[in-house]
Amino acid sequence: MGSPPRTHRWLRAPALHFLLIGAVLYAFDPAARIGWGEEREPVVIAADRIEGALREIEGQTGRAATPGEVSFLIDRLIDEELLLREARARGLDRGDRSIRFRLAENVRFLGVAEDDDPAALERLALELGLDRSDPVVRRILMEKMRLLTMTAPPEEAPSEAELRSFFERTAETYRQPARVTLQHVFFAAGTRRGSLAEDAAQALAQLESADAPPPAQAWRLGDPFPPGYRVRLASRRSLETRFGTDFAEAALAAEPGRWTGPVRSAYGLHLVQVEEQRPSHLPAFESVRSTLKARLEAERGKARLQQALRELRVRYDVRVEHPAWRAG
Amino acid sequence: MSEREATGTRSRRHAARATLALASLALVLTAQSCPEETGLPFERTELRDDCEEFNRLRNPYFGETHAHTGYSFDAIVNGTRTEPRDAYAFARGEPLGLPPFDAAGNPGRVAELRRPLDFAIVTDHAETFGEVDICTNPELQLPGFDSDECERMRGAIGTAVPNAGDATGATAFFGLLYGFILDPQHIESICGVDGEDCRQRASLVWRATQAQAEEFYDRSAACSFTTFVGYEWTATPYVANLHRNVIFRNARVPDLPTSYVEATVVEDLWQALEQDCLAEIEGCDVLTIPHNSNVSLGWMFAPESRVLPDPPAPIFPPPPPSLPLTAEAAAQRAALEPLVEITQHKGDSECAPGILSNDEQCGYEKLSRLDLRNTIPVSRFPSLPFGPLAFVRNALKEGLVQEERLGVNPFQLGLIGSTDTHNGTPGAVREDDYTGLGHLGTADATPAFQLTPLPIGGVEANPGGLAVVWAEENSRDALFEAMRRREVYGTSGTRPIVRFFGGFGYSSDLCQLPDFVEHADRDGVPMGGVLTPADAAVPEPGGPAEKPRFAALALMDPGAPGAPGTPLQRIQIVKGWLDANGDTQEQVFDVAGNPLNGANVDLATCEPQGSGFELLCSVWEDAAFDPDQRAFYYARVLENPTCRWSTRLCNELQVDCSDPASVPSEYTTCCDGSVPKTIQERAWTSPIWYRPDG
Repeated sequence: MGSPPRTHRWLRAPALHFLLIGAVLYAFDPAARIGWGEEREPVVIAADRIEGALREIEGQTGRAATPGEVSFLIDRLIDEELLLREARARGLDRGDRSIRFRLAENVRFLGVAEDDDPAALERLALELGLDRSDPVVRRILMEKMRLLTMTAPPEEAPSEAELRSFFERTAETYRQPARVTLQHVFFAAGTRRGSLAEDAAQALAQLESADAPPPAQAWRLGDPFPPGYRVRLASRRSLETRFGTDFAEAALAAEPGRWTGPVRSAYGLHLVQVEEQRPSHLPAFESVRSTLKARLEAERGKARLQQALRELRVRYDVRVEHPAWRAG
Repeated sequence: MSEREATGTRSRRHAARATLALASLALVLTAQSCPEETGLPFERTELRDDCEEFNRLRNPYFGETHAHTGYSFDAIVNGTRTEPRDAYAFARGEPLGLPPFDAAGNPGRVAELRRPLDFAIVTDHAETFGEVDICTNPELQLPGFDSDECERMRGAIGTAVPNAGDATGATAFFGLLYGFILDPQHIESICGVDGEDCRQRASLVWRATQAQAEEFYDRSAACSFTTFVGYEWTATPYVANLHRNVIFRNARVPDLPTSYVEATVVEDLWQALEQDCLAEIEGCDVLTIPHNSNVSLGWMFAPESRVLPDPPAPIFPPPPPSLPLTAEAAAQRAALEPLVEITQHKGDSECAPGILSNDEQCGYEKLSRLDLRNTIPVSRFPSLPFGPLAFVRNALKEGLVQEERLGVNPFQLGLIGSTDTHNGTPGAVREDDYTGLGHLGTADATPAFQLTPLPIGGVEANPGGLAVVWAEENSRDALFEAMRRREVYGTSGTRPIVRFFGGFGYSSDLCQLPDFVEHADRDGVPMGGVLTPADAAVPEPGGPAEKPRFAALALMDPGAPGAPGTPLQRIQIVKGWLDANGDTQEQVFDVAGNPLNGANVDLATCEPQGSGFELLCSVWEDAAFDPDQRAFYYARVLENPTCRWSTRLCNELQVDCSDPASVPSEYTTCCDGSVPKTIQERAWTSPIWYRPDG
């Protein structure tokens, strides 16, 4: 390529989103030039393609790939090529505005266009073979084919029984967190400094004594805490966000009705009285129905993709030019 | 103006009443009982459980509005292999493998959040989503397949729909369509060039984006995690970044996203959203969030319509000239664009030293110290200036100027932070692990890449920030309405809890009251709100006008196990106003804490030194208030100094700047005095505006 190092670095910068010149890097990649209408031609994973991918990976990981890893890589290259080939066979590369736009941008960037007419730009892009070589166009096609393959026909939508069985299988994922409602008395670390622990201990003694203030006035034994003295139905996450981990742990473990503490937070010490505890529990099926459906469809989509790739390998004559590959 | 423009809590209650009927209707549909309250203060537009954690006075939810996955072309070319579901799982606390991947596909690095997020939005670049014809893909199960247009198209071809799995049939079909067999003019006469008029389209990537948002949206009463369907509109004319994230309120979204391919100026994007979402789909609602105005060359907030920046000559064709901003255009902008990213991976956009600001805190995470020309390897681009309107504070001031002229403020923007990660790692904001993870796949995976002097992706990049939303519960409707009313704030990545209220008649001991929030909320407006003279007591004849007071409360980030938060240094209030001459002014006030608290950090070990504040609360009165002058006020909360990520990295690499000959050439920025050694993590609240004309 002979690019100066700074240009190379710039290629990795995200700022110039539409000026990616990756096309140039791939323009002479022979494996990229698999033609429209040639779907019965064998899918050839050329030796230099494999070596090129290996060099890139080894450059990034700083070590040589093992033979087993090379097999994985070849599998991936075959899958990608099959998806690409099938996408073109189905015409997914035609009439796509994203692809046209991308091709026009590439031609503009190369500075070889004589005018800015979109049709002319597209023609030029096709003449230059950019539709075959541009990595973004290739990625759009592979992704479209991959997602199309994963889409289930309407008659295969999950049934009620299947959703319920999926729920049984994955219910723990949807466990509802334990919650507490509490009030607290706050002792500010910043203002009390040395007497902090002692002040909190004294207030606790008073709260447990006969002349304890009424619950709504308990906060007066401590310092102002502008966010408030009562927290309603908070989960561990919510307590951690507002007070920190130590406080959350202590509040969830506290015995309801009794004043406990002092409990440390990021802000000082607290005396805590839990008013209500709600234990963790599993949700009703209806509460998570749409999540279940989306996740089950995703799970099945993955299986459909694997099946489709197996079928494509049979349909196309796959040839791998590498000693590490044993066909079949 | 709409209710969202109206002022004060009175109008908020009014709006709540107006939506009560709908909300009640929705409640009937939900599976569980309603909260303690008699109704919801927001409109429920979707089917889901009410949240157990419902809080009328709002909870802070920490999240991410801007994350890319492998569906973005600039992520995939850097080795990122994530899908939105991976990003959402990561946001919920699951580990995620990052490139480089070895030949067997095992990741070279693993990222994991120490603290999960409450919400996240994946916003991939829509320009390369790609499309498919509905008419030819029956397996998509879209209603369009049976439409008249599709029938016409298939009829025109005169062939049966090919078997989806039969490549030969499909090829023949497309061969026909493109005129390989039939006379092309015949097709063209019926369906237009390329069959365009007969075509109905869908984007598989867009559908997958929606499905995966659904996979991770918690509709149960736990309300543990919220996703939104979104994408990025990626306009970069002549390298001016005019990007917007487009966020939809619920699962009802247009069939296709409007990308830069379809809309090359933002007004066309907004018009498409008005048409495709607001007008055509019952229950659809949307907002846009601009980002990186710092690299917009000053065009992001130009007070004009249909802006296309000046091209570097010669380039063709010359762009059409922009139009003067009208009241109608300003109102469209104000309605659809309530927020802006004030900070993210590619720099801070609040303000810049010397660009209409002399605030010493404006130097934070600026890309401007290096010449942007360095990013552009094409000599025909001239020097690129940072226009004043590249910065949000100046845009807020310009908004006052335009409001005076048009009666509408086009730049009434609430403030959030984001990462803009291209790793699929929403919320990965820590300075101390950015050095291992970066945000750009393999492009910033090594110390040498991270320390390059380039502004973007190099030493001037940063881990980015977070968006915090004050909402009654963690659901799409509650979060969306809070974003729309701008009750949000941005942080540089840490998690301080910040409230900001403005009102007339707050007592000076508000911070000592047991029900601070209740009072502040009832007698004023929260961050994002608007005050008018109607909120003040009527002055006695000849007497002085009542002055507004602002209540700011900040609690330090409580931290995580093994990673305590950093104490606060101070709270500032930034005021911008339009003076009697029609000129914009700004001033920064320290209202709590102590800028001279002496706290610092040991640069060799990055250990903090000195103490700060766990909790700050203050009621500040604007003594210079003039009831005839437009103004805005926002709070900025500063933490004590900590090591910048690059300082940590240079320490790790044991770079010795006292011996320049020993410093490897790829690490020279470690010893570059223009790269700050420390930062003060911070939070910016949305402003509160004062509008004299009500």
